[in-house]
Amino acid sequence: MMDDEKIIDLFFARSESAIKELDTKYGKICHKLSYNILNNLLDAEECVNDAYLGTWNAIPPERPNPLLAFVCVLVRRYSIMRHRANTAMKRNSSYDIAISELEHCIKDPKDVEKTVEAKALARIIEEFLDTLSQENRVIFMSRYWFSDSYKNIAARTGLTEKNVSVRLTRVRKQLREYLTEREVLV
Amino acid sequence: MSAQVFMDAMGEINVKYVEEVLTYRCPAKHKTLPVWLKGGIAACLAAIVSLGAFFAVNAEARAAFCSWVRDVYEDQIVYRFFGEPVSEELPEYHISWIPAGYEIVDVFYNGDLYNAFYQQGDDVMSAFVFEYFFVQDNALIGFLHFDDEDYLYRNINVKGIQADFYEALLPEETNDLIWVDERANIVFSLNGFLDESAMVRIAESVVLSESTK
Repeated sequence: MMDDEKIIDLFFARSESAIKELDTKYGKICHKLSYNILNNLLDAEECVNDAYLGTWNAIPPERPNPLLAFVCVLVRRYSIMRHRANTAMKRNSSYDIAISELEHCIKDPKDVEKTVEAKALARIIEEFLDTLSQENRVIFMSRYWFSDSYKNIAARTGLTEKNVSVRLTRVRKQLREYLTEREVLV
Repeated sequence: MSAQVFMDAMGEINVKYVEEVLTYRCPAKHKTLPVWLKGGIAACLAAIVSLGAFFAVNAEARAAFCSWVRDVYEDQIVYRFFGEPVSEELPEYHISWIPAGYEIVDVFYNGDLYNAFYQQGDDVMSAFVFEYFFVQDNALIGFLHFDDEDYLYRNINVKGIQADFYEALLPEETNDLIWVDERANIVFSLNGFLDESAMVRIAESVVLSESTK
């Protein structure tokens, strides 16, 4: 498969084969990520195409490194936007399940509405992620960024599904404590 | 804060965390230790000492082999068992000695698994669980620990049978004891907040109930 650098060069040259090469190399991962969120093959296909178009528009001037992570960010963003648009969609994707797990963890016990800017919260989450072991960080990100199933996370990390479940429960508890200490949760 | 807000913020985090997942390769971090693989000996002994109809019924299955492996993960230990499927009903065992003040508060039995919960009054932290099941394919039992440095592991002896004892070093975790009676083809386990001597004494008091003999 083509090197990321060469694919990016194709984007810079405005060659349509850039998207073809991008899809050949990373299409499977992108489709899976989108499907985890949408639970619909057609929607996932469209969101991945939107992400490819976003990549086309961003490069140049951008020269993302790593390329895959950059595309995944776009795929996730478009997929979540589509997920919200599909209000009538049956809520049964991995993303829905991951969200419901978090609802129990971070819902404010006093029901106080507290507005936190996404970017500020993102920095706090990054600080929290830095406190985790690499393995736990990968598990957490796999679940709440990639909306991966326990089964896939277990396969990725070499743990049992039960072990993954236990780890996630503990990390959510740690997250809650971390957010409470920083007064994100009251 | 809603989970949706959180998920939005997740979308804003540094791409290095995404990259870490995409490039993550799990290290070979758990070891699998084949512990016992003792062919027919147990079955022959069982036949010789003739413990009655119970052992005679399924002697061929016993003769196949009795084996298990212990998988040690970072925060759990899993015993996986291998053996011919056992069609007969699980015999009835009971504990003939329990520490003062304890009583049985719950029992689960479905023919394949026996699980009894003992407790001292209303004190849940005093509880211990006695469990047993046949050694056969797909049977497994696991003990959870927060970390592999949170317990001490040692081999001990329960009525002449080699047993594994896990001493928890954290007050919120239980001690675990597991042993395999190869003659009976049964795995026994105890876990609870009791100390080693009490658990061994309980284990050594396990006997086949009159109704099964």
